Amino acid sequence: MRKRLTLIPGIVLIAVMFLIPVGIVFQQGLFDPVFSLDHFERFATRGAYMRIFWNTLQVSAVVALVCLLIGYPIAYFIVRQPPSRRPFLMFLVLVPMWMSILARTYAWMVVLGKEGIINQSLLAVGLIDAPIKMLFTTGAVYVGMVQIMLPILIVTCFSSMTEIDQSLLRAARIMGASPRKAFREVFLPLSAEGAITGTLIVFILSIGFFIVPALIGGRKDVLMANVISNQVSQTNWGFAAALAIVLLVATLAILTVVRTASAKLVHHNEEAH
Amino acid sequence: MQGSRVHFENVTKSFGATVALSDFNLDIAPGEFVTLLGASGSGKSTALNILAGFSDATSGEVFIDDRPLTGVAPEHRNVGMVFQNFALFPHKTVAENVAFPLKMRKVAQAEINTRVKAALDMVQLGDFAARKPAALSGGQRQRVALARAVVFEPPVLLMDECLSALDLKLREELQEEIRRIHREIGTTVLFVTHDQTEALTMSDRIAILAGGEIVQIDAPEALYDRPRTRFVADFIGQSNMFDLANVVDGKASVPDMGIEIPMPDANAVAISLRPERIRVVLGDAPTDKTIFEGTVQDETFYGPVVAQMVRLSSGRLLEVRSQRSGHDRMPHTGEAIKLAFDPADAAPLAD
Ligand SMILES: Nc1ncnc2c1ncn2[C@@H]1O[C@H](COP(=O)(O)OP(=O)(O)O)[C@@H](O)[C@H]1O
Ligand SMILES: [Mg+2]
Repeated sequence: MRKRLTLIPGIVLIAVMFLIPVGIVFQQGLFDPVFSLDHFERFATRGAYMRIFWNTLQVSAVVALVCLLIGYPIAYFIVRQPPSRRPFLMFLVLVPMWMSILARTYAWMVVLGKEGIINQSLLAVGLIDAPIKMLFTTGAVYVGMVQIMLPILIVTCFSSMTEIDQSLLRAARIMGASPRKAFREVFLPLSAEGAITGTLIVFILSIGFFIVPALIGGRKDVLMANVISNQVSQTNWGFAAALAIVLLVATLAILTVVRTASAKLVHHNEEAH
Repeated sequence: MQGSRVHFENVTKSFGATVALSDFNLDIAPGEFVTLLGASGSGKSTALNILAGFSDATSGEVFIDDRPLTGVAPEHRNVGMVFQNFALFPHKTVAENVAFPLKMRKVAQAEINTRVKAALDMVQLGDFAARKPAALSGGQRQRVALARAVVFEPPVLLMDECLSALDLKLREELQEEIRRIHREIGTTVLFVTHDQTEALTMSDRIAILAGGEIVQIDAPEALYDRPRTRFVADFIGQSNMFDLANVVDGKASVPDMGIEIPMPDANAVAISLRPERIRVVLGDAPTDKTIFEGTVQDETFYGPVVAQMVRLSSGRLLEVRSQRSGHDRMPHTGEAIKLAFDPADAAPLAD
């Protein structure tokens, strides 16, 4: 009984911080002022919104996978270093996170712009005759988002990798596994859950991005969050809420599918010991 | 199957300023069961890891059957190993764990199945093949680890404190099991423990390690009966140690006892006497040259055995353990006691 009482502050906090706001969003999206699905109909029938919706999911998925492909090897590299050297390397990974996303995105303008560092260098060396258009392209959006998300994936992978008992790899080797085989048979399966979790976190956070596409993306690189922001500034609260609900439901659906699929494939650590 | 000869030749290993092994020499005969016994930090794991190929010797060479191992990766050494923390793959079933070394050796699936089954039957875990390690008890996990280490019939088997995580009863069961498996498969075993009883009961020979050096290597009986240094006498079992004086002409005196004993070893500086090798002299026995006297200071009754702490006139305390005959009256606390020993039971100590 006392145990339940101590749960109350937590439950209240969750209710105030999450459930009530989400409830208000649902109320705004579904009641105008009486129950109607008009906002959702508008979303589903206007091609532009559907296109932006799919684009958002696709960009987020690509960003998440690119982060995985770059971040997993980096995390692996750091975890292979002597324990005394790891904190410094993780510090380097985390430094960018201390800067605001806004500042980092502006920094990409300086790097990628017509007069930017890359174009100026290439021109100076003579590799190109005219500046390449890099800013305000889809590529710039990917670069900007990956740069912001990468530390999150590295940290998630790293923490799951440090939990892998090093003697398991030794055991694999002494039983006849080459380093590559030991990695595939032991390290990869045991770090897969952390890698999948990290990828999902990056995916979910990417779905809500709007600063990066707004500042360094092209006209067609608009994401759902940009549309929602526009609708809010035009005080179309109901439609903005409906879009948010669509994103939320889509995210939950994707999470469920990936989680169910990976539960069958990867090992969970929580049952050990 | 035939075990291999294992040979450490002048192996040294340093970690920066720490010398973990210094001038380590050890020759293990095919099929022999040798134990490295030593306190924590004495270099036992370092020796094992160099043999397994997990770390390189700073200098010296290790051989298996005259094949030098420098530059040979662990996976090419054909050595089995049981780890202290079991090191079972948590994502694989018991059967998959045991099959692992065979799979790495590209053994045909049908043969893998028979051999895994045989190995699991050997450790009485045939019914647990489909379980994950997390669903096993500590003793069962270590049995799986054992089955996995021997399923590919390695000519050399290494075990690093593999029983120390288990409670006493399980430990004794597994000691028995390891000895049986050693007898059955005839592999050469290098076993590591810090538990002297475990070392004494299991080994053909025991190497006592201290500070990265082997201070004595002998069969268990020899080690117990003839420790060569104070360190070994103290490390293995209980011991009473007495300084010697005037070691000349095959004789020496024991000042604490006020007697003279034959001492063939001219380098001896002290003797070690096991408590059970000292006899309580009841009645008169004037002919015995090694009789000395003291006062019983304390006694502990163990049932068949009684342990007495005796204060000698020099002030030294010594422990005597006697079987109780029941006929004669033993001196009790506060009473004078006469003691004697066979000089052949006094192990000469070199330092
Ligand atoms: N990787 C290492 N780095 C630095 N010192 C080590 C390392 N491994 C072992 N040592 C040192 O070497 C000595 C022997 O260690 P070890 O072989 O593990 O002892 P044991 O297994 O007998 O407890 C210890 O002093 C230990 O601190
Ligand atoms: Mg050790």
